Amino acid sequence: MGRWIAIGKVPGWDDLGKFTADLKATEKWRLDPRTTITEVVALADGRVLAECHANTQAEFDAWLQKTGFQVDSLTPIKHIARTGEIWKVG
Amino acid sequence: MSETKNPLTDEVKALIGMSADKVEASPPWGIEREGLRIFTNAIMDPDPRYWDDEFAKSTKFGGIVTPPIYCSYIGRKTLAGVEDPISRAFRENPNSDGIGGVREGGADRKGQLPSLPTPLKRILNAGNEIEVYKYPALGDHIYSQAKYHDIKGRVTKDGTAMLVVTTQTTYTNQDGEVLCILRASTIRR
Amino acid sequence: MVTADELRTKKQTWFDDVSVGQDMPPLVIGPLTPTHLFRWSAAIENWHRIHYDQNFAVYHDGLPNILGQGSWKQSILPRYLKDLCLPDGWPWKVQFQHRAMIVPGDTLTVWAKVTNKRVADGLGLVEMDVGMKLQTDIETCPGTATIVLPIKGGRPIPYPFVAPKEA
Repeated sequence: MGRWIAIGKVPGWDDLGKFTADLKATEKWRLDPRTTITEVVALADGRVLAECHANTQAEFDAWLQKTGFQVDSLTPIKHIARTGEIWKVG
Repeated sequence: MSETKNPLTDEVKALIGMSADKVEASPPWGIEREGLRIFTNAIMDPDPRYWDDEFAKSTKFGGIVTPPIYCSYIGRKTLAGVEDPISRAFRENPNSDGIGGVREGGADRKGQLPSLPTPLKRILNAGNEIEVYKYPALGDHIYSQAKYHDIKGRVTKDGTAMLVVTTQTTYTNQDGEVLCILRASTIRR
Repeated sequence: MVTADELRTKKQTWFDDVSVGQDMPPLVIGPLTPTHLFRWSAAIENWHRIHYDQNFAVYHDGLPNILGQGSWKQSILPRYLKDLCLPDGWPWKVQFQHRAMIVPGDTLTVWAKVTNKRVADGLGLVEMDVGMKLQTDIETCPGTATIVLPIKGGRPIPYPFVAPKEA
């Protein structure tokens, strides 16, 4: 299983209503038992970060394409610090 | 090329049918209302047989009873008077998963079966069975006894050795009546 | 969700009235939230972090989210069978396997379908396929169960339950 972060833009996701409609329901982020869009961050400058947990990057690619995500970069996560806890991911 | 041996060795086979000590699973004060209230809320079961004294008396149970396998959960509670097991677990391992090292403070530290003498360490859940005969009642004391119900060994076509281990826990009350029997099967590979 | 009054006044389903292939009334639970999972962990004092600590579940165990507890599912199936049997039947036995994970946001439908019915030792045994499906129709807990339903004019189901001799 791997984790990746995509950075780019999705038209309309600067609007909270559309962002919610496209991401809230479980089936919008839990794509199958092994593919999960774990986090999506909409930044004030219009960019979006999305984190995906999946068997292969191909599953993430499919979701990015489906959502119309204009990908600037797509990179595996190496390690992460979250509120004082450190996680080695890669 | 050496063939993978069936992991059901004589040493492992010898455990089949072995029982651990029968131990008291309930806290010293037995089955009581508050623990029952918390549990039934958590399974979202509003059945009045669990809380309405007048109604419960009118049923075949003659009084308040608990959900079918409630007795299988009460042995996990940490009893009073021990060093806080959560603080100890994280002191010993700051990356504790919250269960390793925590259970020692609970009632279920006794009555454990001996470990399986096998190098197969990966454990996968393979299924559960439940048989229910009587519901625990308020004031009951619950006893549990674990047993290696069955152990099967095999080697898969691709040469993977595995054991299927079924442990059985029988829960009885203070009168020796069987309340429920739980079997859990795991695959060791 | 079923109410206390419904369980208080539930009409008996008789052995005579069920048929092979019949779908029993389902029990729908959810959508589950992190608070439901936390409540269960606290109720049984199971402090495994994968059930309430999302960072641990996701980054340490590689899970999609915090997970619904298998121990909770293990209580829901007998609870469902108990409800089907009320007031005078008996939820004798169930066996099942844990399959798909459940996470916050999932809605579970507990179901049973009659596969066989027979009389043993004067008791009406109803055998069923059972399970717990997600809103996506994925099965999380496939299994089988045997409940005992009273037969019209038949002998009362003993309590404590005694397994029928021929079963």
